[in-house]
Amino acid sequence: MGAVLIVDDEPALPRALALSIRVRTRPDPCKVHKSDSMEGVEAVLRSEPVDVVLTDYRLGSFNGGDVLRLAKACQPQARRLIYTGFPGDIPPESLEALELFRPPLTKDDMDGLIDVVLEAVEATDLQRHPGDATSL
Amino acid sequence: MAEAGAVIRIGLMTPSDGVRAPRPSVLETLQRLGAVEIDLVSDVAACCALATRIPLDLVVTDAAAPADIASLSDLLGEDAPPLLAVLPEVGASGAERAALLRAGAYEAVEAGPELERDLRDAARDGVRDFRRGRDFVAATQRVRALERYHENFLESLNIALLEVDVDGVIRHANLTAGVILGGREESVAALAGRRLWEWFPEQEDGTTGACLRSGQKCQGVETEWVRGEAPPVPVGLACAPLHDEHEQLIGGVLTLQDLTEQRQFQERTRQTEKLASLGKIVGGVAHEIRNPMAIISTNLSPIRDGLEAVREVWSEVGALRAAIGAEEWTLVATLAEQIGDQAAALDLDFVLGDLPAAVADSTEAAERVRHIVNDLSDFGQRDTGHHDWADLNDCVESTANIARTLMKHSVDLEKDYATLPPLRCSSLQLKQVVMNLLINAYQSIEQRRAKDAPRGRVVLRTREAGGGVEFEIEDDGMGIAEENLKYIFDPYFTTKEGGEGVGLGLAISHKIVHGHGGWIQPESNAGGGATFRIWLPLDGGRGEAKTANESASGDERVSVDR
Repeated sequence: MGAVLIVDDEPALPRALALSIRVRTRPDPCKVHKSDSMEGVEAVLRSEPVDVVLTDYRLGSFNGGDVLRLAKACQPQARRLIYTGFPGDIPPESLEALELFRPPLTKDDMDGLIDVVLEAVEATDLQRHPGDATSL
Repeated sequence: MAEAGAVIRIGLMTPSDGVRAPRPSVLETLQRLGAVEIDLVSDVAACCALATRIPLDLVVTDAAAPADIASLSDLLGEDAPPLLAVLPEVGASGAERAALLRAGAYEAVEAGPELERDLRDAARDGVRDFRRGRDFVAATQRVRALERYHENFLESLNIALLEVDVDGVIRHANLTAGVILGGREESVAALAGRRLWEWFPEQEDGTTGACLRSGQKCQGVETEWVRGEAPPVPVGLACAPLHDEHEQLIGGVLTLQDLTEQRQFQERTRQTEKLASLGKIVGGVAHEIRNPMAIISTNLSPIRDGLEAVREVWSEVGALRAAIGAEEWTLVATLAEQIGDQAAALDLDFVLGDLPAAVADSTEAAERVRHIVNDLSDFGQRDTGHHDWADLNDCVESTANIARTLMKHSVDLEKDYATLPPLRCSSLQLKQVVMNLLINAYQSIEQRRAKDAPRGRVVLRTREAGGGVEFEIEDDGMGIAEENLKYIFDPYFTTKEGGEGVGLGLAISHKIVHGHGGWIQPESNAGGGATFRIWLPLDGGRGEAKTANESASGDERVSVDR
C-alpha cells in the first residue's frame, strides 16, 4: 500500500523510518523513497506516485519548505509533512502556504511520527480510491 | 619685624592707682612700632581677661611693681606673650630691674632719654622671638598631624606596603603587610629586619631584587607565596625606588597585593562567560543528541519485531527438527512449507537483510551521542587553572565538534591541522578561546547570511611557528571594521545585537592567551571576513630560567620602567 518520500540530509534516519514503516505495513508494505538532494526529490516526484512527502526542515543548502513547494507543484494530492529539531526555524507564514497535513512534527516521538505518516498515507489513498477503504 | 605687615597686638598695663595714665613717651613709642593695636588695661585681672580675648603679641607694663609682673606671669601661663616692663623712675637701681626680671619680665627698660630706642628694640626682639616660638610650635604640631595622617593612611590601605633596603631587608611594614606576610596584625613589628626573600625566594634574583638593587621601578609582577601545605597565595608586586636626601639609593617601597579575590573574580567571570557560550550552542547540541536518539528509537521497533519473527520461526524449526529426528517425512515437508510461508508473511528476508544496517546505524548514533556528551562535559568542566601537556589539535577538534552542531547547516567547517609538538597549557582555557572564536565566526557569518550569502566558510588551521604553535581561524563573515580593531579586546565592547553577546568573550580570550605567554591578533580579510591568529609558546609562558623555581613561582607578567 502507498508510497512515502522521506527527505533528510542524514541517511540513517530515513533508513530507520523506512524499515519501521515497512514492518508496520506488513504484509502489504508501504514503499519508501529516500532522498538527500533537490535533484533526487525532483526525480522521484516526476517518476513515482507518492502519497506522502515527509521532510526534515534544515537540509544544508536547501530546506523542507523548498521540498514541499516542489511536492505541491508536482503531486498536489500527496500529503505534506515536516519534521524538525528546531521548530523555531520555520517561518510561520511559509507553513500556511505549504498546507501541511499536520503541524510540524518533532523527533522526540518517532512512533507518533510514524503514526501520522501512515495516517497521511491512508488519507491520500482514500482520496485516490474513495470506494476502497481499508484500514492500515 | 617678625612678620611684615602683621598687626602687633599689645596689651599696655598701667598700675591701677587710678591717677596715672601711661606715660605719653611709652605709648607713643609703642605706637611708632608700625601696625599696632594697643589695648590699655589698668590691672592684672584686666590684662589676663584681655589676653584670653585677643591673641596678644606683647604685654608692656608701665611702672608696674614686680608683684604685678609675677602675678601676670603666673596667670598668663607657659604660652603667655612676652612681658616687657618699663621701670617707674629714671635712674632706677639695678636691683629694681633685677626684681622685675626675676618676677618674669623678659626685659626691663628705663623711662629715661633712651626710652624710645630701648623700648622699641626690646619690643621688637620680644615680639620676634615670641612669634618664632609660636610658629615653631604650630609647625611641629602640623608635622605631627601630617605624620599621624600618613600613618593612618598607610595603615588603612588594604594594599600591603613595605619599605625595604636594597638587599630586601624590611625596614617598615604597614598593617596589611603584617596580615598578608605574618598572618596577624601583631606581627607588623616582627617583620622589620626580615628579608623579603623569605616569602618570595625566587624574587631575590628575579625582577623585584633586580629593581631594588638598580633603582628601577617595576609593576605587575605576579607571583605566589607558597606556604607549605596551605594553598599558595597569588600576590601582585610593585616596587618604586627610595633615595635619601643625597640622592643615594637606599632601597624601595614595595606594594604587595593579595590577588586571591581578584583571581576568584576572574575565574567566576570566565566560568560565567563559558556558560554563556554553552547557552549559545545548546540548541545545536540538543539537535545533535536528538537526531541520533531518533535513529536509535526508530530502529528499536523493527529490531524488536525482527527478533520476535525469528523467535516464531525458530519455534517452528524446533518442530521441524523433531519431525526429522522421528523420520516423519510427510510432517517434515508440511512444516518446511509452513516455515517458508511464515517467513514470507513476516517479511523475514527483508527484515533480516536490513537489521544489521539498523544495528550499525544505531551503534554509530549512540557513538555520536557519547562523543558529543564527552566533548561537552570536557568543555563544561570547572577550570582549576591546572596546566599540563596537551595537543592543541585535540583542543581545537573537540571544541569544533561541539560548535559544529550549531553551524553545520549554514557553515562549511574546514580543518587544516599540522602535526604539533606537545604544548604546556590549560586545555580547558584554550578550548574556551577556540569556542569564543568559533561562535564569533558563526555569528558574523549569520549576520552576513541574513543579507546575501547562502553558506559561510570557517577554516581552522594549526602549525608550528616561532618556537611555539599557532592556531588560526578564518571566516568569511562580516569582518571587523577598521575603527573597531583596537577595541575588540576591551571588556564589554561588542558590535553584536542585543542578547547575542555582552563583549567578554574576546577580552577573556585575550587574557587567557596572554596568561599562556602568547599573543592573539585579529585581521580583516581582503575579501571580507576576519582571521584571528594565536601564537603560544610550547612552555605555556614559563621560560627556561624560571623552570627551576616553577613550583614556587606562578605566572609572572612584568613591566619594568627604566
